[in-house]
Amino acid sequence: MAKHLYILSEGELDEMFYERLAERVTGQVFQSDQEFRLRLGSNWKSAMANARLLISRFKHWTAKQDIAVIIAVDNDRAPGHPGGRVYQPPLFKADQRKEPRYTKLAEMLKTSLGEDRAAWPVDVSLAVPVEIIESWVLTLLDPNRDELPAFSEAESHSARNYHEGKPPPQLKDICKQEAKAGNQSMDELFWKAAESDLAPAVEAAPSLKLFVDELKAWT
Amino acid sequence: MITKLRIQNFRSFVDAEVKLRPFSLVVGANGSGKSNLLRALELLTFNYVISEHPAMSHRRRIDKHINFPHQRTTIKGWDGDLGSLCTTDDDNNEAFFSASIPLWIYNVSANSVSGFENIIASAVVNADGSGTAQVLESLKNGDREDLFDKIEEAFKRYVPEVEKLSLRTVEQGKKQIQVREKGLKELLPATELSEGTRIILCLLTILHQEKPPPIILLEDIDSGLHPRLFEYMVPIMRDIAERHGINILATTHNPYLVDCFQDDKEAVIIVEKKDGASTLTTLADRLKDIDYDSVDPEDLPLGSLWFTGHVGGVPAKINLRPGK
Repeated sequence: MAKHLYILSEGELDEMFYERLAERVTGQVFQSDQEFRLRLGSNWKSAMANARLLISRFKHWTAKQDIAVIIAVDNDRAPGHPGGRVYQPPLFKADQRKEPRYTKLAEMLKTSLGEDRAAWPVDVSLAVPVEIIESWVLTLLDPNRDELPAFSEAESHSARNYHEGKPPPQLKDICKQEAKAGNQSMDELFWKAAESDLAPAVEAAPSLKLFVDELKAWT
Repeated sequence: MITKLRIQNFRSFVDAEVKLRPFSLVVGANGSGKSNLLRALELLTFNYVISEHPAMSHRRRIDKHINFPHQRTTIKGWDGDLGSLCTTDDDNNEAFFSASIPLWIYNVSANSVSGFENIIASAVVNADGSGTAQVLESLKNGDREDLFDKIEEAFKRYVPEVEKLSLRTVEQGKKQIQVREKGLKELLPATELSEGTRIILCLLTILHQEKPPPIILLEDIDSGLHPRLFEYMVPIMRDIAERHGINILATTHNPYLVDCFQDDKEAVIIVEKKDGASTLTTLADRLKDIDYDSVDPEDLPLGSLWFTGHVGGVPAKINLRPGK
């Protein structure tokens, strides 16, 4: 019987991407019949509450279950990610004030499931891309590209402000451009990324390495 | 008022039971069986009052559902501890009304409430809300002005801006609803009223018809209503149901509407398919399985909880993998 995989993410596209990476890294095939979807525009507090609620299902279990969980939350330029970046000049105050998401999620897991990861009743991995899932997609497609932009879209207020009104294409913009150039849908682009060579991408993206290392620890 | 319902072998239901509140909200994925729940309630309620309803002469045997060609179909309701209100049974040809004729399943469209309507005798509010002006006119100018006054009084209570409700003649034999609002010199035709206001008026008119339905079943209540109106509509619907001792059930796909049930989680019914059969449970029951108390409801309101999938009632996974 295949292990159940629960993924908390923002949409089907993200789910497909993370599930495929989990399959490739662990060599397992999963039953992903139950999915958890963050409401579009959910803030960090909501994402954290959802993650805590999902994990709370397992905290009283003692025996190991055939269940694995991926909690996927974009870093969105929050400081304090162990695989994160430091931006100059300083980002918005709103970004500077963000809680360290990876760290907070990891703390929550330890509080809920215990300090000893090997004793957890379920396998869990945190997917906290620096800065959003498209960062990992682009890194997987080309690990040698120059440093990636920090924002989601050039049209966003924060990108325009950071780049003094003239932002270059940002992460989602570049993904759209590459999909268009390759005559691909976004699903196909994400799939292609998830099928790419992992080793150089993991070297290029420390936050991806954290995720992959946690997947490798799954039993 | 029905406080508990059991459905066996009816459409997508094999055997499901659920408690009902005066105003219950029904959520679930498309095709989960929400509409079948409404149909079952309609059948049950119609059967219960069958001898009082003029449509009795048109009663027909229910069509057997393809899923249950050999099983007995049973729909039971309870009113508190009073025991079974009604059992409908497809072995009894005369006791089961055809499910193909919607009687009290309303899919009210605000636009249907605001148009010009021919004045006719024996008016009723139709499933889409049309006929509202006809019913109001027949009450106002028939011998039931007392009912018109009740509608106007309730309308003014629920929509405080309203000073007076009336009907205007737009051409011979045709009338349109109009309203005088506080602070406005001109009367407003129904077309100028907000959609929520029109729907409230329609619901009040449905309730105050000379033969009001014993149950109001609303398909996609959020259709055409701004989400900001939900907080305003929910207490009204609850109040109407409680005052009149009836059930109101409304289906929705809108998480903002679910948010409004923080203080009445028993009233949210989750419909979902398991092994091909529709099941019923309440949000309150589902919350017993998760540690909702561990999170701040402001970080995770009920609508988000449902949308995310913590309590079920969400669509099946969509597989985006190429070639799938």
